[in-house]
Amino acid sequence: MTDSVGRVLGTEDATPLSFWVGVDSAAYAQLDDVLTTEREVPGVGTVRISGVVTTVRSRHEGAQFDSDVFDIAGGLLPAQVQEAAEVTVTRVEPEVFVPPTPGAAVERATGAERDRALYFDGMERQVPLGFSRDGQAVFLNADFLDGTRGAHVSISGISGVATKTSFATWLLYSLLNSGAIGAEAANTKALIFNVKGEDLLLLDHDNTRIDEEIREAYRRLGMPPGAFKSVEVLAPPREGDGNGVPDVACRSTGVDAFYWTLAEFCSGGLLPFVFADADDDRQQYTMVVHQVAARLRKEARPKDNGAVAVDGQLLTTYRDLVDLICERLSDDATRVEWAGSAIGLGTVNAFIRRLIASGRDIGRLVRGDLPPRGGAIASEAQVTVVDLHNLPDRAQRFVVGVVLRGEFERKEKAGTARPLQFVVLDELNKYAPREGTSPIKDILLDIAERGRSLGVILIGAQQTASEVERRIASNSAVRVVGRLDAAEATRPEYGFLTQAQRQRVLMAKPGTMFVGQPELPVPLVVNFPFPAWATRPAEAGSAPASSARSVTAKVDPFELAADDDDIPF
Amino acid sequence: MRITVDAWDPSFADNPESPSRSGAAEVKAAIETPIAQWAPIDAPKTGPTRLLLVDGVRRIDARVELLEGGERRPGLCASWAAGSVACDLDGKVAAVTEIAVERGLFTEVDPKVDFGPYVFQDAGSAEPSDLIAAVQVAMARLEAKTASDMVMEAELAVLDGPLRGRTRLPNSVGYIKSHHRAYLPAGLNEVIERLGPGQRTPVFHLMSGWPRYSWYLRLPGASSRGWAGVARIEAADGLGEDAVVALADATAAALPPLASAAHKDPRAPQNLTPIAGLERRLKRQLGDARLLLRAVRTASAAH
Repeated sequence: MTDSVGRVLGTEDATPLSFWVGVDSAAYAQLDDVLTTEREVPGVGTVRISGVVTTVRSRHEGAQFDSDVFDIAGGLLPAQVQEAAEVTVTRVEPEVFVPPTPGAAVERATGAERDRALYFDGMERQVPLGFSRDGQAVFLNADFLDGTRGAHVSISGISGVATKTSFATWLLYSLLNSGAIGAEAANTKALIFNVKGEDLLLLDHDNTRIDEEIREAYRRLGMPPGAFKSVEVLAPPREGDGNGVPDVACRSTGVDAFYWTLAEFCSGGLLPFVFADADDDRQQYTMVVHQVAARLRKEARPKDNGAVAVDGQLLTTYRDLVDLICERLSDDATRVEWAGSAIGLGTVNAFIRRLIASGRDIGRLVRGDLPPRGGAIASEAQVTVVDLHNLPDRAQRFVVGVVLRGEFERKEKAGTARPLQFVVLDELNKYAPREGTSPIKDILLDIAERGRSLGVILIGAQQTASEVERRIASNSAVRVVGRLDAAEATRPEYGFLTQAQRQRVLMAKPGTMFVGQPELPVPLVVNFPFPAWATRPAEAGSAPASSARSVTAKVDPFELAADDDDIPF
Repeated sequence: MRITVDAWDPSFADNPESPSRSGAAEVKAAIETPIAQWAPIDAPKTGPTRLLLVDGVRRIDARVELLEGGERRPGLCASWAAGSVACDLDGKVAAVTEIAVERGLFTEVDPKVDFGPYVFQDAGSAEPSDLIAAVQVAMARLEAKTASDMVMEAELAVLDGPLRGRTRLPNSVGYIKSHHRAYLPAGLNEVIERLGPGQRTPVFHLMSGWPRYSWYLRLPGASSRGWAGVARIEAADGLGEDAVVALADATAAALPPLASAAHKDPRAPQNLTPIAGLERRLKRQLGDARLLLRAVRTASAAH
């Protein structure tokens, strides 16, 4: 079904890529409306040209001077108000790129016509993105999300108003609950790094602030409103706590602490991730870092509770390890063994200074006094949230680097892309900056370039895409932009936005995103529904049954008994 | 029959003013005020708020020559349009309510040839000035037709140009922007020069040519000396004297606010703002002259 909007203008150039429409006085066209027109081409037949409204303007015709507006408004000068809309063409069917004929009737596309104009008809698996301005559903082709034809999502926008993390979690929820990827959704896993506040720690709690209208919006998009079903939150151990109690204030159930044992630290060669700052990479002491890491791998012998023994000396804390390394490096007799030959004393001292400084940040994450967890981020839950928000910068980098490497290596070993592993990482410009190199950036680049075939999909968010490594941004099939800073919006990284959209992003409201996908030449403007899961403690409903169960399940009364074969009497 | 089309500057004949006729004017000045007390009259505080302004434009698109049996007859292809603007000063709306466009081929005899959009009009003469006069008449007829459809709803209808032939319309006045001659006796012309902005002269009765009432009105503008900014207004002879005076008061109240500004219109202030807007719209409606000329050429080449 279609309804008339106006006619193609002849006073502005009509091209196969964009044209202007004179809007009938009885009709209207707003931004993002989908319009369509037809023309006859000799020998081809009817060509249908459809597109999205990217600019709308109205003016007084018959007025010559600016001051004429007062005469017109005062009822002295006759003039006509004429509205015109610029349509950026999205689809020409069949693909004969001819301009529409001026004067041709233009109609609003609805139903199947709209689906065709926006390529929804060709999307076999549609991931709902939200609603466009006219209240119709907008979809993303799952092929470009799950690695079939493309992968990775890049989300940009100012902190606070751009709702980047909300959109990332919404996209995950939509993917997992809309049925777009079918039965695969059950095995698909997601790893979310929570970098600020406790925003993402309540993903499995219903949001008490949503009303029936929002629930209806979810249903209209083909998914039940609600919280994530299976969530595990991993938080760093509390500072100075010997038992490894997770450092989380807003929830007490479904939370586990994550840490690495000293044995894992030495055998896994995790030391370079302590020096994961781009600033560290420019220094000479990286050579020392790798030399020491190699030495630790060779010398460290695992003991109980994750402790290690080096040269017969038992180390139970990270500080013990740091002290040992410093001692070996300061001693002339062992320095060459540990730091390598031809290393200046100044370089060694620079390394020592930084290593000692790291003790405060890393100390609670690398433990020799707690039982090994069997992989720090081993979780059965579908969505694993790794909480970083109360860790200092160096520790955050350490966790992100080690966790990403672990996941990537696990997928590499598995050798199959399925089941998919999504990784949601905010502040990508910190972990993969455009300038310099760091171990984390290397892993992220690996994910961006090879993750598609390995089934590791990166959903990266950043305030400024211009400051993120170009290869990561260019490997993202789906580009999402929320509200942007005026200077940032002019950068070439946002070249996929139309001229008018570049102005619109400056005033995009929370919940409004511009989504560019490879099939569509124009990014679509999407309003995604308010999260149905709690984003702060005040919104959280009661704890879900699954996380309550996990508390009890963690303390299995028969676990100890299994260790001991003896009859307990 | 052979037809040739002259492209060169058809507008040279496009003289909007009809040639002035000489001869003494017969004037009865003592209609509203005795001659001795003639003085500028101030406008009333309130006036009509629903106005109708009617105007027409014309354009000579091409000059043609019809050759038949060694005899050449000149002709004119002309387009003209008429329309009206309804100004509702209370509702603050000015809208073009009616537009009509006609085209015609003015010659002495019907060439019996399809001239595209140009319909044969009998000019009755082969004289160039008569041809142009015939166009003018056709335009005036269209203006009257346009006006008669809309005039009933207006409190005051202002028709552009002399009222000749349009005297039956109610509440209507003719509005003359330029002065080719002074109608009043020499002693009274001094009153015109003394008019302040918005003031009018008393009504007088004019007999030269055809009978009608008339008065002068000075519109606000840059200068208010001499005859600058003075328009002459005509009303039908058939009206009673009281009705004419009421009409004169109505124009004095309603028209000065419509006067155009000098920097926007070379004919300011007499060319009223709504009329200027209407003329622009009408000229657009006449169509592209070059395209029309091409149509005429194509039509003539076919014969």
